[in-house]
Amino acid sequence: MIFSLLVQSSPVAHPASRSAYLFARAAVDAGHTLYRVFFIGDGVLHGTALNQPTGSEANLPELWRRLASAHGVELLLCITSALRRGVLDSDEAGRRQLPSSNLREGFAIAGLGQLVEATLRSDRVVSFGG
Amino acid sequence: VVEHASAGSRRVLVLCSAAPYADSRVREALDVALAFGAFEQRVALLFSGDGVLALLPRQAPSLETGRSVERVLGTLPDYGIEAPWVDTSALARRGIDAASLGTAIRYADQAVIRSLLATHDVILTV
Repeated sequence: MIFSLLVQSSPVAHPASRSAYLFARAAVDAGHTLYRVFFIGDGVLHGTALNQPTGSEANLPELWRRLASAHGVELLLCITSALRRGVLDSDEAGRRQLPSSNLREGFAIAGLGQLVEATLRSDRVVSFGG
Repeated sequence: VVEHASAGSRRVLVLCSAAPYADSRVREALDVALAFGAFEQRVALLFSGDGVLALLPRQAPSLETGRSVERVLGTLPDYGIEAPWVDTSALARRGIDAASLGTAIRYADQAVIRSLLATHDVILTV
């Protein structure tokens, strides 16, 4: 089965974010295809390269990056949510003349059309943190 | 039975239960619904829980709360989205008279909500 996920919660403030990752890993371990993970709302905070959990904490953004890299999964941040929360790639930072960008490796910024497209291409879209 | 991607179209229900001016969740739910509408997908909105407060008339947002959710709701027809559904039990629990919400709303009791959940292919709780 082809899955896409919608992740809406911060990586450090909501158990749904961990559930989303565990679901994703279980899906690929069971042989399913994970097509795209779309982060919206506080979920886009997964995409900043500047969050630094302490050594004793889980690092969900890094776990996502590894999972995505191993299985060819797209990790996309909703551009509107990302701009609201100060998560920018270098293109957006340049376009808006902002002093820096902070997008984490393995993540990309995209429009909601990519959520629509993921919905059409996937058998199931599972929403976390709504 | 799993419908495969080649079906090319999904009936999407966006379920919104966040209060309108507490954070950006209602705005994000509406953005999601508008995006599906803009891409000519069949999308419906269901407001439940504190989300029903987004449907109250005469909202008067300020500089600090941002743009009126009521105004965004007014743009739904431009995106081919039909009148949103509202959970009548959530209205009753909050003491809101259903008749006070105006006409561009559809009322959903528990049976209708069950039917909405059963008849949509994708349910996005935002």
